Amino acid sequence: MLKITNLTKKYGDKLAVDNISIEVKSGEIFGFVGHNGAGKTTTIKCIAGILNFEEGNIYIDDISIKDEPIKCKQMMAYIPDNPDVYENLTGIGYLNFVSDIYNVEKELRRTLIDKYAKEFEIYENLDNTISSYSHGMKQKLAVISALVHSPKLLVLDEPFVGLDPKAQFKLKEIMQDLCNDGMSIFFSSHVLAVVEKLCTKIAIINKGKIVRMGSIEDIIKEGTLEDVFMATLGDE
Amino acid sequence: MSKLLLLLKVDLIRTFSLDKLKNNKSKLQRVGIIVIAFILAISLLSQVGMYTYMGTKFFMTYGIEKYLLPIVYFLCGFTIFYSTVYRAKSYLFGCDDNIFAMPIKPSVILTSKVMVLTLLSYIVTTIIFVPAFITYGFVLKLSMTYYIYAFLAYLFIPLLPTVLGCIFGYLIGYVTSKVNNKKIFETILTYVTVLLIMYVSFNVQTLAMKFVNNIELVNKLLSNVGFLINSFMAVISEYSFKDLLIYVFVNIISIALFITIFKNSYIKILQNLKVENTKKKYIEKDHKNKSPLATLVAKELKMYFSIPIYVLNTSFGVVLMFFASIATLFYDKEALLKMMEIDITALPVYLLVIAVIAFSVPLSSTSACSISIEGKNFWILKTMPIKTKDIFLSKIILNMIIVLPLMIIDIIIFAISFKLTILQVLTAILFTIILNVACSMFGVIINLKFPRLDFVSYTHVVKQSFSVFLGIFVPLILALALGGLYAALKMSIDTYILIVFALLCAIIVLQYNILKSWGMKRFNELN
Repeated sequence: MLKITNLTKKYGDKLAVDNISIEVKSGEIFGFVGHNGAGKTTTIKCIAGILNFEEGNIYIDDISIKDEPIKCKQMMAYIPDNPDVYENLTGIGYLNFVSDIYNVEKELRRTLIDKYAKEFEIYENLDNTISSYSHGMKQKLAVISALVHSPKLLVLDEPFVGLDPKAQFKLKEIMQDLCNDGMSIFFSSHVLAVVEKLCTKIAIINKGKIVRMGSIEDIIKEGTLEDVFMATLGDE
Repeated sequence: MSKLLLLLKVDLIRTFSLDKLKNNKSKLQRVGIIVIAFILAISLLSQVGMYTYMGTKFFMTYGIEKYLLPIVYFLCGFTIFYSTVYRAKSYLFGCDDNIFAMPIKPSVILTSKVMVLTLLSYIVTTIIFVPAFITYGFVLKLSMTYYIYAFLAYLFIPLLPTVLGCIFGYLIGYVTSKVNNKKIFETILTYVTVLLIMYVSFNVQTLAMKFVNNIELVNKLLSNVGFLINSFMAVISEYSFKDLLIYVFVNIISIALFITIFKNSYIKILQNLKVENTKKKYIEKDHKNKSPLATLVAKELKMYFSIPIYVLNTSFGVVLMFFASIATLFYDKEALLKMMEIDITALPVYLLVIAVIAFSVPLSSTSACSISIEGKNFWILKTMPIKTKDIFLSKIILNMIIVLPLMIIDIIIFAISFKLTILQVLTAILFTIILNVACSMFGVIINLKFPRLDFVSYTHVVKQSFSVFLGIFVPLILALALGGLYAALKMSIDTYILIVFALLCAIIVLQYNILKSWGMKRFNELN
């Protein structure tokens, strides 16, 4: 579903992502971990189509994001680490905006908005302007907006930050359910326990390079993910 | 360095974007910015000086020249008050929570913010009052004592108006936080104020005559109510030391009282203003599916009307023209044209209408900041499956929706007033459409070239960005050049209109190609 081949991204002279290759198959949850400034968000922004990149390519369902960005974006959803959404719109206004852009049928959108808004407990607030929402509510809204168009690939940057414990639990549950239905998820997180519990594959990135990658079973043979992470990057 | 000085330093760097000027620009660009700022300052100072010269001469003919500087003082105070009301609302009463998590007393935060606002007021005072008092002294050949007293008066001018602006800004913020449709309320409130200012500035001659004729009443009012202006007048014209002390005392005490009273309740006030009306419960409504372009346009419209400063700044041209067209229905047209200093014999009325359109449309360019206004939400457009072409189109359509309906109504009103033919009306409408499209496209291009996605307040992007400046002035200069072309070549109106249409169409085609190639590439590079 997601294939990154030899991706390289520079900011001026500074190499942010250095020749990385990753593959995420349908039904897989891929965890992306690393220090602050290691290149996680840059990689995610390249996948989401926010940043251009110099070398390599990114394929969504075998379609290159460089050649066919619209087709690729139609298949995926992205949730940033900071849920900055249109503050002047109401919650429902924003969800309808996203649904219209992704051409979600009326009935389906109603069902999905109803389902997810109630699960994340913001249904009653949907008619309020987003500026009145708390950080967590905005994060929940961003999650719902990503799920409302049933993407094939979900790309999330630190999705659990700002969510209350119940919403975190719900999101993990939804992520697993969606993967069981064939969706692929690529997400970054600093919460290693969650990554260890949720992911089927992980990659550790350091200074723009993948320093460790594999199935979670292989990685945690040597100990917990935290142990492996510290053993790999502890001295950095 | 004390916490107050540290805060002041950070606030000043943020307010004037000094860090960007220092770090992001090349030496050449920095010199360029300084030179432009210098030229702007000189031109502003010399204009004020010129108006003061004319004003002094006018007042001298009636022997009431001693009232000139108090008027400048009042105007200066009002300008400071008005701009502080705007800034206070977002800067003083809308600051972020991070600063309050630091071990700094709220009174120190309040003091530093009031000091920054006062410093901004000093810029206004320097531009308005300094050239005025120097010119006034020069014309009347006044002694050095005058200059010393006037300078001392200058030092204290900004204090009281800044304090009053802060209080009024708080009151507006408080009232709007209690109103349901606060954005609309805010827009209406601002419009009423601006129209009031415009009324005063358009009727300055009549008001000046009324002032001259009612000078005794003015004297009475000054001694009863406007004691501060009275003291100011005594300082300037009589060099009264006693009045100087009163004047200084009142100004200093006002700012000291403001900080003393507000410092204890500052956090409470901020929290009260932040409370949003969140009582509404969502009730499911039917929603019609829209195409991506229609969705984008609807989003643009919602965004537009939810940002009062955006509405105010960009609907100014069309609203101005609307009032002008209404005025032609009820007032003597020739007198109106004379009032606007337009020589009716030099141009046919039909061309005047075209000229008014040519000046009004660029003033209403919503597109010149439409990319920047996305700000921190820009990622939404970048990650969605939307054609870049549709994004540009939605920005252009928004401008057309804001400008065209009212403009067409204006043209019809003008047609009734000036008895234009149907062909002339249709030509004027077609001209408006073509010009509007050309200006909108130019706005998008210029905003792509000079985006400001990291703005802190909407005022920065809507009123103070380079793209908005160019988006308004380049089309205005083009309109002037086209006017000059008519005057220089003395061709028939029909030929002239045809040339203008052809030129605008060529500009549209050129801009379309720029947007299609460079524009799309540039949009993809932005993040």
